[in-house]
Amino acid sequence: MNGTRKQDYLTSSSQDRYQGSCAQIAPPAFGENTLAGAMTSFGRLLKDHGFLVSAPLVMDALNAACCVGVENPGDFREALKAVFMTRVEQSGAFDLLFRQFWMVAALESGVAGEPDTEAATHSEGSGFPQEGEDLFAAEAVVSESQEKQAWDAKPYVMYSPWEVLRDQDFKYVPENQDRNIAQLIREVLAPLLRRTGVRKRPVNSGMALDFRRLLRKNVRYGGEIYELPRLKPKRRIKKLVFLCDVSGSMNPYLRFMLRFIREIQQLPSKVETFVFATRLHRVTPFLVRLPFARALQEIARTVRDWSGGTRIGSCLQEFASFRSGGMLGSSTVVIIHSDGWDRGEADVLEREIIKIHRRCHRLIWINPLLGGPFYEPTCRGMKTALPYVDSFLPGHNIKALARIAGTLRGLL
Amino acid sequence: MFTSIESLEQSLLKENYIPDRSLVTVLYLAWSLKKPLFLEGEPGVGKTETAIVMARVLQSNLIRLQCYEGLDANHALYEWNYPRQILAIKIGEECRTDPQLLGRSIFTQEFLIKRPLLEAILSAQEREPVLLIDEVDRSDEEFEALLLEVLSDFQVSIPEIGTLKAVRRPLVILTSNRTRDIHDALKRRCLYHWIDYPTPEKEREIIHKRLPGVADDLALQVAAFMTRIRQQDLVKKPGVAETLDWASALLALDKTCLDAQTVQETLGCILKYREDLLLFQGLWKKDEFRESMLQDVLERLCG
Repeated sequence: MNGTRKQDYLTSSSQDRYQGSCAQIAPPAFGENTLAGAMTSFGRLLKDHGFLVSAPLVMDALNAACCVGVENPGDFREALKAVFMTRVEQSGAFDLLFRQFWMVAALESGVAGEPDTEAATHSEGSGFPQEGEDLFAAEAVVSESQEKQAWDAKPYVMYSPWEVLRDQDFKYVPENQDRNIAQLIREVLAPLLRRTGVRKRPVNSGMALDFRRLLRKNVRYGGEIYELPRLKPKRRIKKLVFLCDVSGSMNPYLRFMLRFIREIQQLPSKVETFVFATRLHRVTPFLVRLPFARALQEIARTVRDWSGGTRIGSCLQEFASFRSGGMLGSSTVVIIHSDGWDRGEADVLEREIIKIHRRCHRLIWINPLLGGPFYEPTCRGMKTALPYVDSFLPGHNIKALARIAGTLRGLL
Repeated sequence: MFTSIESLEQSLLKENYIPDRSLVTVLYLAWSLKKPLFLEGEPGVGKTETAIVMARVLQSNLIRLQCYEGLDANHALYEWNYPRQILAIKIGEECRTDPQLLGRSIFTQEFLIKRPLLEAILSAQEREPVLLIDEVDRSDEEFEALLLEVLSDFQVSIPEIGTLKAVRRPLVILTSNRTRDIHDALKRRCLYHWIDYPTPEKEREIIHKRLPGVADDLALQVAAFMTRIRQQDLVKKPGVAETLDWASALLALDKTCLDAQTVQETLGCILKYREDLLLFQGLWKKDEFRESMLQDVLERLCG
């Protein structure tokens, strides 16, 4: 039944073209009212919203559509979903875009606005595309009181402009220096990134014998054992998890930290990134896929819906149970980037930080305020967390970032 | 073999498997487009079961590859049977066989140990099998790269023999519990589907199909109870497997309906963590919670 249906919406000429030109994504080579044309446009729409769409995928989607037919919208949607979606969090966005694109009638009568259950559970707050606004604009309100108490020091004055930049607190780095700072961050990380991960590697000395290679090598001697290849334990590659505070007081430092994380993603180890204020949100995909400026916009968009003060304790709790605790493990290094201003309950914070400290390899706390000459961890959140932190580091300028890179290098 | 989604649904039902319409759709697509299917979902929602049932429906054999960290080509693809090769060389020497002939003969299929991926490719020559690659998230990136190669053209190159290519592509089902992200390159080659917990009605049907001895009322009670308990903030939410365990436990204890006492006694079937047990016990002491759990069940019974 499907073979014949194919003819209905692929006119024969467009079908030929579809097979010939491999469904190029860029310009719609098909009439908009053919299925192939529509699918190409739909693919582009998805691509614009962060889905991974390629020409073969569009072809797969067309094949899938031919296979299930278009009579049943539910089946049609499931088929496209199976082809285009790569993680369950995209489900809400996909459904919305699907409705927007394919169900014009439904959209006109306002059905598209109905709340989506999956979108609500999985990607709360990823309020769907509205045009970009200033970065973390909403958070500025939260910060004022904290900002007042925050460290207030003058930037160091030095001779060379690069040296100045190296020592300057990120708070005072002018916007136009972004490029130079990015360059410096790359330099700082260079020695760290030079190390590559290895799997189990064969060596000629070591404890365990590699029997597979032993037999293989000695076949040539007719079964007499002359060579003894051995195994060396594989160095376990650590997973790095960054938890970044996005409350207003951290605003000046966040951009540079995210840039730092962005560069560190080149490591062979897994790098996961979360941002938190009142709630925790995973932003790894943005930082991995999008250009840096777009990534910042997306993160800001995620953050914008939040309000109220920082609740570090409950965010850490969310993190500890994220993917059933899959983020934590004996080979994970957790790095918290926060000034420790906590509006939540201290005992929750203490309980969670103990839990995380116990379940990870190392817990590092980066506090940009520590760079100030007179800083003491007097605020409640910082005081609570400090006993359980393995390394407490400043992160206010390039030199501090270099120190963080050094610490990480020792751990990897 | 299947002409439509409905016919596949019927076949699955015949095998006592009650799928969602969306799952049938992707299974049908995977089968007709010959693309691997990537299933994700919480533990215990029936991901592995899907592959087992598909093998029964297609009347072919199931080849299973359980993933773990450090899984490599030697264990997933193929390996030479070295001890046998050495024995063959020794015997060859004793019998004064021509060394060149001996050299050729020890690198033949006879001395090849077929691991699951190669087996799936080779056995596809008679009838397409179902290849289940279970818990991909447990393996590491190196293995994902290997899978990419195998899943894109279903052929394996063995230097000593040559390239072995599948005549018919097996139906490949990959499952993941989502302890980590799988690389997009692998996902892009697959159809993706997220299996959610079943609705109470579906779950009741599942109990009914799998354990015909359980009374209909009890099945409904259990299903509704499970839906409610999954809404609690548990370390490990009980899956469908736990539902079936619990139902069969209740059956073995000759219970015909749920009451506070029975729930307490058999809690070990559904909650497997001490934290969860403590949390539940704490909640269970509150009258309103207990009543709401059972009341909900009663309402469902009336409805």
